[in-house]
Amino acid sequence: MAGDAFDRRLREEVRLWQADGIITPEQAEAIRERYGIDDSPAASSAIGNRVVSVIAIMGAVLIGLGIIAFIAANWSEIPKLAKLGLMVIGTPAIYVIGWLVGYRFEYPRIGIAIILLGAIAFGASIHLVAQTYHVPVNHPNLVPLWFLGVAPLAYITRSRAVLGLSIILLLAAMGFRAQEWASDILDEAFALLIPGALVLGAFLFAAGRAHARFEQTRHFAMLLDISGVLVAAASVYLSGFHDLWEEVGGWDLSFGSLSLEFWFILGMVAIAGAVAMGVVAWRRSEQGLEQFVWEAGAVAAMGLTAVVMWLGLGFGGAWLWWVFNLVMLGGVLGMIAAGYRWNRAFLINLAVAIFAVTLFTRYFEFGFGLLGQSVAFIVAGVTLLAGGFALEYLRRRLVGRMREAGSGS
Amino acid sequence: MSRRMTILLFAVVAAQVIGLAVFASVRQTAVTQGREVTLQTIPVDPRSLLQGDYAILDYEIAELHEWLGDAPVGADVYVILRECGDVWCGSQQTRRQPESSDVYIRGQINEQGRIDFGIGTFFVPEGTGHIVERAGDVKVVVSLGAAGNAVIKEVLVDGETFNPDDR
Repeated sequence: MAGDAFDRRLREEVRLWQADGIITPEQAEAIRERYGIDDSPAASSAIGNRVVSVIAIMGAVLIGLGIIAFIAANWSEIPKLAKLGLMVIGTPAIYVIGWLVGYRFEYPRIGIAIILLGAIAFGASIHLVAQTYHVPVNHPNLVPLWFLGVAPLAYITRSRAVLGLSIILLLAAMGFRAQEWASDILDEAFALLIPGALVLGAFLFAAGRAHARFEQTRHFAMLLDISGVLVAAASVYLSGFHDLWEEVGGWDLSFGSLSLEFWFILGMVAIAGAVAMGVVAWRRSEQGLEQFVWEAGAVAAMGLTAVVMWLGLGFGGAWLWWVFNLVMLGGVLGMIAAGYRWNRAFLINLAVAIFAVTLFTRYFEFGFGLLGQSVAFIVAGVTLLAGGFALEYLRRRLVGRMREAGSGS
Repeated sequence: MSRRMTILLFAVVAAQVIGLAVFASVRQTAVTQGREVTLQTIPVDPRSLLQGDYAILDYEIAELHEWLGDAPVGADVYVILRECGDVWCGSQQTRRQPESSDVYIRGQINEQGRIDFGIGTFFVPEGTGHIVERAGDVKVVVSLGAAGNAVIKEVLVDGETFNPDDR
């Protein structure tokens, strides 16, 4: 209720500030976006707006899945050209409807959801054309093409949902291109791609921090931060397996087995991450030098870990598995410290989740060998219950303390 | 949304449509303008979540000659074709692009040590994959581009063009 009152007051104040020329229309829009305030006449409350957004996006995703299922059915009753025409005309028609609903009839949340549907329909269209000409679903160019078509829409519509889809497509595109980068996707050379995910994670995190420095893109920052941290954590998680390092000793890994395209893209991603951190440094007055040092430290740590991982894969031995488990522990503690220092509850929540997944993975990796399976399951169950309680208790205390500190300051 | 952003939005939508049209037209050109050859194949029948039922097609000409065994996975291989009755079969394999007077197909060495010509997938209407899978004789009519790239034109099941509605 307090949130509703605040939103109503802020909406009115923003209108007055804009009318008095204190802020520009873009700044007014940025403030409304930051607080999730719908300025259309039908807007009633922030909570209501979020519910509308979530329901509309769920609807768009369901319709999108329906379109994909329609294509997957490959109905022989509909001629190929009719199906292609339906998608080639239908996809832009969805965008036009989304634009009309969102920006002409002023139902922005519904409009964005329909544009998201258009983005899904675009991907379905790519796969329909591919199906028509018998191009397999795992062709390395289909999802990258989908990503390239959708990513600009996130910035034009300023939609977090479309950015979320873009990030998912970017990660999937990297996965599909990976079959071109390693000579054999099932071969040991594939392990050399794992540190690449750390570089990608560092770039996403750096991009998130750069987005946080500008009013127009600030609302994208958290999504990019979380994506970056999760991608980097996934890379360190994979390198924490004992079996991987046991086998590395017997492999003859060569960096030359990865294609030039991989190294080129890796270099571009690293440069983009460095540019993003340059932007953060340039705009550091926005949030202070200390925060910049933390952020630069996090990005540098991810990059350094990637280099150590590559060196380890090229020249290291079986003992390296614990190094990367220590790196994971250090990363988790760093995230908790950063979350506490900068009042970011999501960092602490993420850290606890990553720690729990890593801990139980290590338990199952070693517990099954040391104990009988029945005992292992019982101990795992008890550990899950007790560990879950302890982690939740710790997380609540940290988040609670942060909120107290935030309200006190 | 500002006028500039509206223009950008529709520019991106136009680029998406152009991208789709280019993708389709490149494939269509390959189908209509290439040289037509028929290849003997052996199908199996999986399913794609995004694209539905399809038959995986393996080819007799996909067997890699022993002397190319040292070539790395992903390396280009050209198979020169010659007519063997009602199908075309492989006569020579080479890493270099053959003379334009030859009829040849280009592929890459895959993880199984065979040649992947990019024509290993044939999409069929839902629930009809078994027709291809259980057929005694399956041939594929492909269209070959100037560089040896192949595109599937049609599949012949027991000598007839595959049409699930007729079965």
